[in-house]
Formats: sequence, C-alpha cells, structure tokens
Amino acid sequence: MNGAAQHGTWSSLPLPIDGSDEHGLGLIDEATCVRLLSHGHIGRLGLSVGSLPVVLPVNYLLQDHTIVFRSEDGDKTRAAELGSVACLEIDHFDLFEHSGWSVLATGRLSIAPNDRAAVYDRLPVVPWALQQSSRFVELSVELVSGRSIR
Amino acid sequence: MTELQLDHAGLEILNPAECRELLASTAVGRIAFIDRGDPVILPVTIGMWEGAVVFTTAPGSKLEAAIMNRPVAIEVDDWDAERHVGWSVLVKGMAMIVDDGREIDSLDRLSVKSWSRPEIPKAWVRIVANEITGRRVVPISR
Repeated sequence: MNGAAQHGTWSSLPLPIDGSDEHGLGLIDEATCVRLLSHGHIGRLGLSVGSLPVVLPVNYLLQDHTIVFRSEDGDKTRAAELGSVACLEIDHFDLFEHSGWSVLATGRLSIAPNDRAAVYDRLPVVPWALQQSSRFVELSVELVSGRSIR
Repeated sequence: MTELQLDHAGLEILNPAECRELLASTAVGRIAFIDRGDPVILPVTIGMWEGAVVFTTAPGSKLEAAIMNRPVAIEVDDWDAERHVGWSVLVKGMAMIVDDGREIDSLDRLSVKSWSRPEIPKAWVRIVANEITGRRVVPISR
C-alpha cells in the first residue's frame, strides 16, 4: 500500500513524524511545517472578529518567515491595522488513501510597509477578488505546528 | 436569468440553499475557535445531520474543552488556482455535544470518517448555526 503514495505529489509523500498527539495523529516537526508552508498557495486565515472566530481563504506566499497576501479593505485589513493575532491553516487530504496533513501557523498581522509592498508587488500574490485597490498584509510566523494521519 | 449578487470585493454571494448543498457535498471542513484569546483552525471530517454540521471529537480532548458550548466557525472550500475559480462557505455558530442516546445511534450510522485511531473513544459535536454565508470567485472572463 505504501507504494501508491510514492507516486503521489510532494504533498502526499510520507512526512517525517516526531511523536503523536492525544488523537493518535503524527506530529510534524517545525522545519517540515515551514517547508509545507513554502509550497502552499491557498490557505485559510483565522481571525477573532469581536471575539468570534472567522475563517477567510487567502492566496498567500511565504517570504522570509512571513506569510504575505493581498486583501481588500475588510476584516483582514482591519485586523492587520490593529496588529491582531491570526493563524493560517493549510492542509492536504486523500480520503481514499486515508492520508493527509495539516499545518497551522500563528503570528501577528500587519499592513506591509511601502518598501516591502513594492517587493511583493513583483511576486505572484494574486487576491481572489481581482480588485486593484487591495493592500499587502503580512502575518509574521511565530508558531508553527503540524499533524499528519498515518 | 438572475443577476449575480456581488460583495464589496467582487465575489459572488451564494444563497443559503447553495451553501447547504456545498456543505453536504464536502467531506473535510475546518473548525475555527478562540483558544485563550487566539484564533485556531483545525481540519475535521464533517457530515450533515438534520440540517446541521456534525463531526466527532475525543471526549476530554483539548479540542473538546476549547469548543464546547462556545462560538465556533466551520469553513469548507474548493479551489482551482490555475483556472482562478473556487468557492468557500462559512458557518458561524455554537458547538454542542450530542448526548441523547438515540441521536448518537443515528449519527453513528452516518458515513463520517474519523482520523483518530479507532481505539480512541469519540463524541459527536453538532454545530448550532446562527449564520451561513458563502462566496464564489467569479471567472475573469465574465
């Protein structure tokens, strides 16, 4: 059965596991979490808006331990202006193979300063909503953790 | 033909019936909750039961302690980055434990898979929704 996974994409390859959690899921080490984040493009941003949890999908890039995405004015830019704590989740699952993993990165949001925004503007960071007025938002990655099904 | 309803960012607003259909057709969702002030997102395998999102958790787990009788959000989505199309649906509500024996029996008959090892006991959680919203990325050509 393991042979099938060998032919999968990078995202379905067996990951190095460092112990297991209370649900019996494998713990993915920090370096591997960062590697998975650097390969990803679509993540889900978790925010606390008025003490209530909200999830918003974003197209992102990882640049120097910082998650960068573009956003229209709204909950995400407001949270960035406040320097709020947020998280980004990425995952990949294969229900038929009963395999998969997820990575969670947590840090603080901020609006990218002009000099870095100019750099990001040359990167393929495409917002889902193709509006010209969007701003670059940064999430400094302070904590990462990952789980895998095995 | 009805006009597309677009939000401030130019995304199509999905109606509640479309949102429920997409929820029912999706096996993996993500639960978001606030843990000691900070937002957390974890993947969960979900099912729909009597119009509500349901999933299992381990009794006494950190996840159970963090979500029970507290506000949570469940998100499902599907994306095709190359074609720049996709959608997402967000359910905001409260996580409630299912403790009625007959309800548990009928939930156990649903085909909702759990990722936890089979020997780990499970409890059913139902999301009592107070808001369901969805967005679709409108293809560029439109």
